[in-house]
Amino acid sequence: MPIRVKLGVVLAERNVKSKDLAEFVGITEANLSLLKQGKVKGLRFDTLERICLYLECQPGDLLRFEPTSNAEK
Amino acid sequence: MMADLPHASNVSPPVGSLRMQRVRRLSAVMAVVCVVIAAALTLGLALYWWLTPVGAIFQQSGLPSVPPTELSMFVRGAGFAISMIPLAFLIYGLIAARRCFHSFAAGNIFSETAIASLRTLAIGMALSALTKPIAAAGLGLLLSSLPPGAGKTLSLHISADMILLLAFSGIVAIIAWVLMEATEIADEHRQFV
Repeated sequence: MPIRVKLGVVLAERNVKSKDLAEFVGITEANLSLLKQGKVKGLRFDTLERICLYLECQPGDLLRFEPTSNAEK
Repeated sequence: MMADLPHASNVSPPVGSLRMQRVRRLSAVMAVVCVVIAAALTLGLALYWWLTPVGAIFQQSGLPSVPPTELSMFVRGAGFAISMIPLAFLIYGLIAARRCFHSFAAGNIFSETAIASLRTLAIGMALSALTKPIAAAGLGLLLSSLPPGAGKTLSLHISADMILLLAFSGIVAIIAWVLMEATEIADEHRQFV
């Protein structure tokens, strides 16, 4: 998928546990794990908001667009 | 460290999380209530057959014959066993309802277990409704044969209660089917976090 999730990197940089972030955001650890792996179909704005609030970061720090050769214009 | 940031600790938990906690707490309570109801119904029926005077039993069963002076423990036990048939199916449904509430309490609202349990509840209620007139007929046969010289009476009553219970169980079964279909749609939504 062209959208890469860098959440795992940000968590490691800030030394934040997934369990704590999941509890704050209000999602299960399993879903957070799926998000870190980029295996979710979508991300709600309120989830993104709470992640950014907890990690004190911008959405762009968490998501990166890396187009595949088919997706390039 | 995040724990040093003042603002993070001042933010209240998400509203959805609080609502889910309420659902889980109520479901845990209801799971216990189902067991209590099942036990109370069984105990109530046992006490009815153990303690109710023979005249009252005959009156409530609608038999025209003159009742004997007393019922033996064997007859009372047989009456309890026959009466337990529709109640057993209802308890089977209540145990399924308990499984459903357990699933809710674990946070699995639209799970296969919860919906299958709801379907089992509907089946239990339907079987209870269908066996009620059969049990009543059995009781009628049992009690009518007791007075000396009396012939056996076989009567079959189909009451509005039975039809209502059947209709209600059908509605619950349809709801369970709709929920099953909806889980497949919800599965896709679940992949949104």
